[in-house]
Amino acid sequence: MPDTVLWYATRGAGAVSLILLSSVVVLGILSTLRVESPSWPRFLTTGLHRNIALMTLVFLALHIVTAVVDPFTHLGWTAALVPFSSYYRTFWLGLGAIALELLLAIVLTSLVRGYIGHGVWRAIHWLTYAAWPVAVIHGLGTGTDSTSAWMLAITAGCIAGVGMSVVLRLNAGPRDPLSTARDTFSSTVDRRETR
Amino acid sequence: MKGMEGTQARVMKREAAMQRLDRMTTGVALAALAGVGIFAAVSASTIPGTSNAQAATGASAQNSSSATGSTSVSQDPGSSSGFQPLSGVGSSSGPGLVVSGGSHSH
Repeated sequence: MPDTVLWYATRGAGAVSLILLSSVVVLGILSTLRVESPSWPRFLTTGLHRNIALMTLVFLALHIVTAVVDPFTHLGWTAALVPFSSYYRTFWLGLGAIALELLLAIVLTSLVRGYIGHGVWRAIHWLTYAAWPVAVIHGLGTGTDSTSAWMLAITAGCIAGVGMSVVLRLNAGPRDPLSTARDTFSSTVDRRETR
Repeated sequence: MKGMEGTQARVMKREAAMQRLDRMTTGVALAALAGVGIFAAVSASTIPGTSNAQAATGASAQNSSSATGSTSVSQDPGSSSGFQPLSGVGSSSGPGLVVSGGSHSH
């Protein structure tokens, strides 16, 4: 087996991981928007979000393992898992390690959501909004192919997809039908307490 | 009776959606696997590597102790825009030295 195969696999798995991670973010945002139709029940979005999130971890593992065991890069496990401990592109690889750890925290807390409570799970889940850009910057900074047209197109597509969903989410406002009533009630209670 | 039919229809609909979810998940997984292969091939064709891989590794560079003062730089497998171990040499200490025995030649 040529010694560069693992190196190419690392790069391929990195690109796929970015696409999958971006899809997970988009589906997560769509699930908060409660997107549904007669042919697309809401749980399909949530289910796909969960399944692709787990899949992302698998391809991320492939990306990391092939980079670590590749005799060419010779990064070592410490560089892959401990942020900013790599001799090679310390900062950019460190961002990758941070993104990995944030994603692990998000996925693991989602798997034990029933035990930790909704509030804690939600707070940790907000880390996605940090993990995704960190992963994108990691790819742009350290990616061998980051200046290649095809990789630039993938990165631009991912940024556009996530950006559009965030804009949709911000414009949609609260989808909870009782949110207005709840807000009114809360503000009334606050006014009475301050008197 | 009508309620039973409605429930049955909902169950059938949910079952169909679950099957759809399974199919979509399988499809995404297969597409992702194919994507790794395709992107690996594309990356290999756009920025190919070289066979002298060991020369660029941190460990091998560390082991190759040369007291002659001459500088040997391994070829970057990712061309000028690709994997550049040299960029790490100047910015950090540690084992990632690609330049061997050349500390005085800079």
